[in-house]
Amino acid sequence: MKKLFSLLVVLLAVCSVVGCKGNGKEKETIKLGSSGPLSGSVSIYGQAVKEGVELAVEEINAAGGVNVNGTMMKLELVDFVNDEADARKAAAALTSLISKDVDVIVGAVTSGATEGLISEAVKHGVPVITPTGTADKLTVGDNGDERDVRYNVFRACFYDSYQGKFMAEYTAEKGYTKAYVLYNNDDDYSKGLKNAFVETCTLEGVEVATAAYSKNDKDFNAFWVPILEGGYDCVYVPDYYENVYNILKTGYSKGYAGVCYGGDGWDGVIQQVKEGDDASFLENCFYTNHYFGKSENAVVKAFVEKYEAKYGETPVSFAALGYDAVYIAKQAIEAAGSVEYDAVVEALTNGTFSGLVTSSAPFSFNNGNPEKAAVVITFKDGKEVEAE
Amino acid sequence: MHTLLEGLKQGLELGSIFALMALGYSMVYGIVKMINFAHSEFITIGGFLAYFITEKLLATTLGSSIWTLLIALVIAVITCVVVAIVTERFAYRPLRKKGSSRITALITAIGVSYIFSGIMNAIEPEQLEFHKFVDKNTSFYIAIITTAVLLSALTFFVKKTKVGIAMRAVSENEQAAKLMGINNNFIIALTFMIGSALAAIGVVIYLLDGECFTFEIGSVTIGLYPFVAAVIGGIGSLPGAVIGGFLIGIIRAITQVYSNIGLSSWVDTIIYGIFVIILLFKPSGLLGKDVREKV
Repeated sequence: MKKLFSLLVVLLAVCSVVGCKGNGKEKETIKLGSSGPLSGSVSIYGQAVKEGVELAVEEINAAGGVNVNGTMMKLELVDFVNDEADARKAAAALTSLISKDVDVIVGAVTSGATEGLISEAVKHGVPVITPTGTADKLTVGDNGDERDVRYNVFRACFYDSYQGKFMAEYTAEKGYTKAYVLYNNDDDYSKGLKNAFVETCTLEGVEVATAAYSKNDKDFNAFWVPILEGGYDCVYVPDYYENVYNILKTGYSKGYAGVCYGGDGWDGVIQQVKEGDDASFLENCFYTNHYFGKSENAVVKAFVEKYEAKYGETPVSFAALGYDAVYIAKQAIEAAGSVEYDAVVEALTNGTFSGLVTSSAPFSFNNGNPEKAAVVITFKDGKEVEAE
Repeated sequence: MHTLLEGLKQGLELGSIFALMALGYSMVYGIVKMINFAHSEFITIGGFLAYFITEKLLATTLGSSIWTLLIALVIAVITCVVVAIVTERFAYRPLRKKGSSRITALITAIGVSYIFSGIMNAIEPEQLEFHKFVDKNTSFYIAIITTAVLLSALTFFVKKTKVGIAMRAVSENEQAAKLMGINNNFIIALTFMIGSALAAIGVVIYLLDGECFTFEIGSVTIGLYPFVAAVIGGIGSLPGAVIGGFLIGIIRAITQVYSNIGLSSWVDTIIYGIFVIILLFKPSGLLGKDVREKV
């Protein structure tokens, strides 16, 4: 009995060693992992990114795959985890994706969740390209000095202070001498944009007043009173489309006649307008976004066409960014000639990326942030148009 | 000056809505000595029903007339009342019969609240926009007048009618009331009915000027304010609930109207601060009865 037992143990040991040798041999596919909110109040973003990512993977594979040092390898989206825009869930998602042997992470979608994902990702050094995480600290940390720790984190989109700064410069350019910021005190994204806007306005000589609401506030009537009393005609509302629509609607129905500015969180505002409602007030509203879907640019047009053919709806910017993030990964892997974490990270740090939907000009990364411009979008006749 | 007046106006409107909802908490506590946390979900259910019925009727010949609003309101109230009765009958009464502790009843109420909240979330997680029946100016008068009328009716009911007196009897001493031949279970169910009906009316008044809302309207947007109002005013006291409601409504509106000087971030601190101070000096609330109870 004892002899049989020891024989079994030896057999098991041999098997596991042989099994080990099997790992780390020829990789069949390049494994991508992702996470985003597929349920909850910002699920529209998670869905869009997922669709963009899946379209890119499909397209790249149909064209032969990714050229890794001479060998064509297909891309495989191992999993798109539903992180419900929650940091802890995103961190857990990262761990589960690592256990599935991913080569590149294309995620997460919301800044808060991405921060959670990054806290785990830095322990592994896996290249992370967040398509839509815009918070400044994602690539450089709270005080801007963690680039060496977060060296493997990149983003496909512009970052919040860039957006806030851009809109402040736009405000000054349009001749406004005073502006009002109505922001969400319980949201990092909103606060980030507000801080950058205020800072740059001050630099540009624009007088700026701020007022905060909390995440539970849905009735904005009282908040508009000081704006109307103070005679402001330029209001910055850096929040997500649900609150933004509510705020704008309330203000204009109270008689506000000025302009409203916002950030990429506004994407989706036009869908909030009920059929038959008068949304002409939106013609005074402008926001910064990552791309304009009806652009005449050939790359954009091709993407929009393929997306509409596959999903039957026009892609929002989050879909375009998900799509671009995959293409950035592809270009980085091809430049590196390998899927090793460090090689890909190096290619991302030092390379140039071109032909993307959300950037007509080629760009490279600076501290993980892509050096590309924003598009300003406004509304006309119930549709989005590019602003002059 | 104009800002302050605007703030007071908003405050009175919001206050009257809070008052109607606070009455539900106060009445139920007065009768069964239990905080019905599911009350917040009655509010949400009322709002949702009113919304869906309105949307359906808007497409018909009734359009956006007052009839649409009234039908939606009546259906919302009826649904809320039914939900309240069912909850009382199947979640709370069995515990009362068994003589369960107050804690058990409380946790059950919280549990019921989560169940309803989950159902509402599954039905519609995204933001909805209630049809704008009237503008903000008119809704102010509607709120004030409706609340005044309902309060007078309620006071008359509780003081002068047999059933109303029976309610007060049950809230003072359940055993004695039973001895007097009062059907306690019926009275308790009636209390829940009235409380939830008022909540439904309150939420519809809140929404009818075209407000945007989510499934969290009862639990988070309107939230704990009516409950805090009921406690500040003296839980179990009807006039107290009303005073508490107006107090909280006005504080909220004033802090928001001065949000440009940073006051809005302090709204909860101020409200709960006042809450603590009032309870320190008058533990049973402003108009509450000072009854020492052994827990």
